[in-house]
Amino acid sequence: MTGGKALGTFRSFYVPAMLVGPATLIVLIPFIASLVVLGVYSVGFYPGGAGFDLGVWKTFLSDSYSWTVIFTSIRLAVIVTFFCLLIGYPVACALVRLDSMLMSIIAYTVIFSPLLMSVVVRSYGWLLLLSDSGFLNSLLGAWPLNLGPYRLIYNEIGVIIALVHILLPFAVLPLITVLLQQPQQLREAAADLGASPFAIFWKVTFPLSLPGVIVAAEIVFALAVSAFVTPAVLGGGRVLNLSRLVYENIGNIEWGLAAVQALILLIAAVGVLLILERFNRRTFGEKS
Amino acid sequence: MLLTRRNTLKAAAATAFTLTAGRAMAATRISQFIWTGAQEPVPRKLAEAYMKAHPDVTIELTAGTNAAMYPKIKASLDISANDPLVNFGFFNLDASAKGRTANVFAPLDKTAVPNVENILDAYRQPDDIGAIFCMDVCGLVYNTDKIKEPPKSWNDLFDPKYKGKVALFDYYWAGNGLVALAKLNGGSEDNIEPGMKIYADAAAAGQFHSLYTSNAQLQQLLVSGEVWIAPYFRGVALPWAAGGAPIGYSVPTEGQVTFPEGFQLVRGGSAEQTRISQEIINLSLAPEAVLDYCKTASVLPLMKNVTLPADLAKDPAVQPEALKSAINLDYAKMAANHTAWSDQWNKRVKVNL
Amino acid sequence: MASYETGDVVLTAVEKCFGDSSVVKGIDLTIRKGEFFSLLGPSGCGKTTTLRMIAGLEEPTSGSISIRGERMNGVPINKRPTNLVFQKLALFPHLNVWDNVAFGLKLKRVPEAEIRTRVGEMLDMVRLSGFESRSIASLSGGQQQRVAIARAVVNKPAVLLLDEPLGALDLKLQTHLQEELRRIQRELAMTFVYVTHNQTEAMAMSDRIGVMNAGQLEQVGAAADLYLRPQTEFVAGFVGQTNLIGGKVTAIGETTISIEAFGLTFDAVRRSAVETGQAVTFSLRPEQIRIAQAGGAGIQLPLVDATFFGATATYRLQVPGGTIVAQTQGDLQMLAPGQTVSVSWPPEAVVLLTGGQS
Ligand SMILES: Nc1ncnc2c1ncn2[C@@H]1O[C@H](COP(=O)(O)OP(=O)(O)OP(=O)(O)O)[C@@H](O)[C@H]1O
Ligand SMILES: [Mg+2]
Repeated sequence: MTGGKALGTFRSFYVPAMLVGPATLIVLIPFIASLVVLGVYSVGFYPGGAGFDLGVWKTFLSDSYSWTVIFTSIRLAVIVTFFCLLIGYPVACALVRLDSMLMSIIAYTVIFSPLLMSVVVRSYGWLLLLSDSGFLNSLLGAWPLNLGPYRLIYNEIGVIIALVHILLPFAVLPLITVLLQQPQQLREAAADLGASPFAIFWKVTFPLSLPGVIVAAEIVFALAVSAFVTPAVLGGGRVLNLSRLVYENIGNIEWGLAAVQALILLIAAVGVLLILERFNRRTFGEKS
Repeated sequence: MLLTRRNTLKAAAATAFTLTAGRAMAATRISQFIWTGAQEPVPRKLAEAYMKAHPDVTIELTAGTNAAMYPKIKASLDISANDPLVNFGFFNLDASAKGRTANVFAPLDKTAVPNVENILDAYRQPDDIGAIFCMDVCGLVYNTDKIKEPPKSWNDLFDPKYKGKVALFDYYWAGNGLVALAKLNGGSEDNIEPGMKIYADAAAAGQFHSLYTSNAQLQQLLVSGEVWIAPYFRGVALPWAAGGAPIGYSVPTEGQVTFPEGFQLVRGGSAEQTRISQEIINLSLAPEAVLDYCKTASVLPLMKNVTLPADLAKDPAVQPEALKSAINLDYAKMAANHTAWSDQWNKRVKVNL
Repeated sequence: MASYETGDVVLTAVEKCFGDSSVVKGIDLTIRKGEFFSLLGPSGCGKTTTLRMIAGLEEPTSGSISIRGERMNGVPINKRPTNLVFQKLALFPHLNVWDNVAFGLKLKRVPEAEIRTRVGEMLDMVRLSGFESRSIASLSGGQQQRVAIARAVVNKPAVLLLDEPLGALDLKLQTHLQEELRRIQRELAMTFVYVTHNQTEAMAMSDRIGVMNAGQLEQVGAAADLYLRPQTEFVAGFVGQTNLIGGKVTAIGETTISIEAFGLTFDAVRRSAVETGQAVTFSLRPEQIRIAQAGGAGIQLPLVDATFFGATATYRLQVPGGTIVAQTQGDLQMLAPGQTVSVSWPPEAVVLLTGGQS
């Protein structure tokens, strides 16, 4: 009896622990270590630092400029997340429903191609597309539209367009996963009970895909809020986000300030993720 | 390519080891930092030649910018004082000044690097911390289709007729002429307010098209005609013009901003690494090597024993009067104020773009 | 046209192919209004596919389907007067029991109060009162199956389609729900098309049964019809146990015919046109065979073995070139293998199988 119980505990605890253990360690140890380093640096303990001092925190948080930057980072990430979901959702629906093998391969390649290119190359690609004399503006400027040129780059619009393009696959992937998991029969059942295609979407497909939407939002938000290269290259100096400040202060060998800013970036990201997670739990928690 | 070459060298070294059996030949690894772009080929050539002559030495070259590399070097020394990220490399005076204060760079030994004696006295560094052997100059880079008459003054950057057509390097940076502009308007390294105010007002007035983060970006902006004029390096602009782009470089009457640069030896290497690093620095300071470097990178030599060939010497930017009136900056003071100024730059200039 | 008047669901030459494989091979079927009709057949014979075509979840490759005289081909699922209880249930995992059952009524904008009474009654009927706010995942398989039934039935469709709805239930619940389904069907005068592979269930519940085999409808009739007068070997074999015997017609009388098989003569009631010398197959149900001690009436056959089941006993009897099976009530005679016994049957028990290709 006791032997069986011991084996039960072994199976239910040690076996899963051993299976996920190595991965967890690989992810956790560097993460926690760097968090500790950031924390210690942010209160003045670093080579050349003056010892314990909360001054950097105080100065940074009491500066209205800091809050402008924090707000810009979050606003940018929220907008990018919104558009990634808005564009990514129909894309994921279409990909899931593709029958033809060839079409699927083409579509997946097109949508996931941004992942295969370096972020710098992609950003420069956008530069050529969106600049005043770029492809898009020459198209708009040509007869019969004769519009523009519009400033689509070196401002927030350009950064948003490029980030949405770059991060779209990260939204589409979890959405595809969750849509593929949805049995076709559920849509059939809804139709059988009298639901129009519109009603099927809003009463079955969409609510069931919400966990995927939340995962997609979490991933895209986390990546967008900490994006560095794209805002730097396409922002033209007009997009002031936290990661840019962190970079500058590392360049200035201001370890303390850089650490404070990096931690605030992390707190902002984790805060938003927690809100989304809570929403996720509340909506789907009790079901399983 | 590099890898196979390195492997071949290793194989050669191994062969040499067996042939000279008994004589210890522990390989020494040297890490050298170089700049990207036109500054890259000559150091590569020299490093290869050195490795060929010394099969027991491996030189690893890392290309990058001072802004990105200097903090990493500093951090590596903070972590382990005897294991610097690079043993020596190429630095501007800005990084040199920071590194001198932070004790990152070591003095060069005159007996190991006799060629430092040939550096112009004005550019010899105190205690020979660094061998600043050449300089770039910063002036006005412009689109020759849009601006027919070469711009004459730093003030052209703020001329309303170029409203929205001026670009600056993103990030507070001496080359933006912040300090130079302060100096021209009654300020100095101790009082940059006159310069800062002009930038802040111009930004608020919509004078600036954008801030760029790389050479390639400025090139695209200028060639496309979206930007007409920007302050930038002669050494970067001349190769573009030579490549056929509608880009010109002009010397402001108030003077170009000088941008001296050269080698720094990083502290913490082994005795052998320090010896080899200094040997390579010395070889790089030989007249032919300096001239080669200056020609490929379009920079000016700061050596007593090097003169520019006649064709290059004709360039107005390098005429004695032009260089005499050049604006020299006190990088030590600038390094000390760097953080405060970049903070102001963010809050007063960038915010208002 | 005449069939439309009496028929609630009419299938005319309905075929269905998935790619190259033909799954339903031309079905003609008229299901009457208010009838409890079962589709019975082995696994993979095309029952679900047929049902899905009626529901509108599949379009027939050819042929037509009409419900209440209206041609259904091309009419979308949500516009058909049918509801389907799915074989795999297909309950909505994000909704609780109540919302699952109320799903169809809400879509039809039935007044809130009416929804409340109808869903409440329905849950009562499937014995799930008190489970209203439970999530689907927290229900047992049988409870889920009852929710699936309730979700379809509550809409009171003209035609209710049920795909093996009682599979996962224990015997007691199965019986209860069989009765309930029967009651609902009568009360609401709904037409039920009930798919099952369980012949007992089909026989117990149905007004009529259609036996399907390999995409074809072999025979349609009431339970007794199918059992007593199977037309094909498949039906005879699938609906109850039987002895299928091949023979040759040797004589045709006024009311009977004689068939020779295994060198024995079997007399049968003359029902269909046959010729002397014609090769035929007939069915002889085991329980129709009477067995007595050797020397009694009938033919004498050696007993191969005997199996005692309590209420019944089964015997295998040796005939030249094979065996036949007989079944009796109990084993009062204590017959032993190897013994010779007297075997007889009434002529009505010999049923000539005239339909089908075999
Ligand atoms: N969508 C489909 N594509 C291809 N073949 C299919 C499809 N649906 C069903 N079939 C095939 O059609 C045949 C009949 O399937 P159907 O589901 O109608 O059988 P069934 O009689 O309901 O069987 P069961 O009693 O096992 O549920 C099977 O061989 C099945 O594999
Ligand atoms: Mg089935």
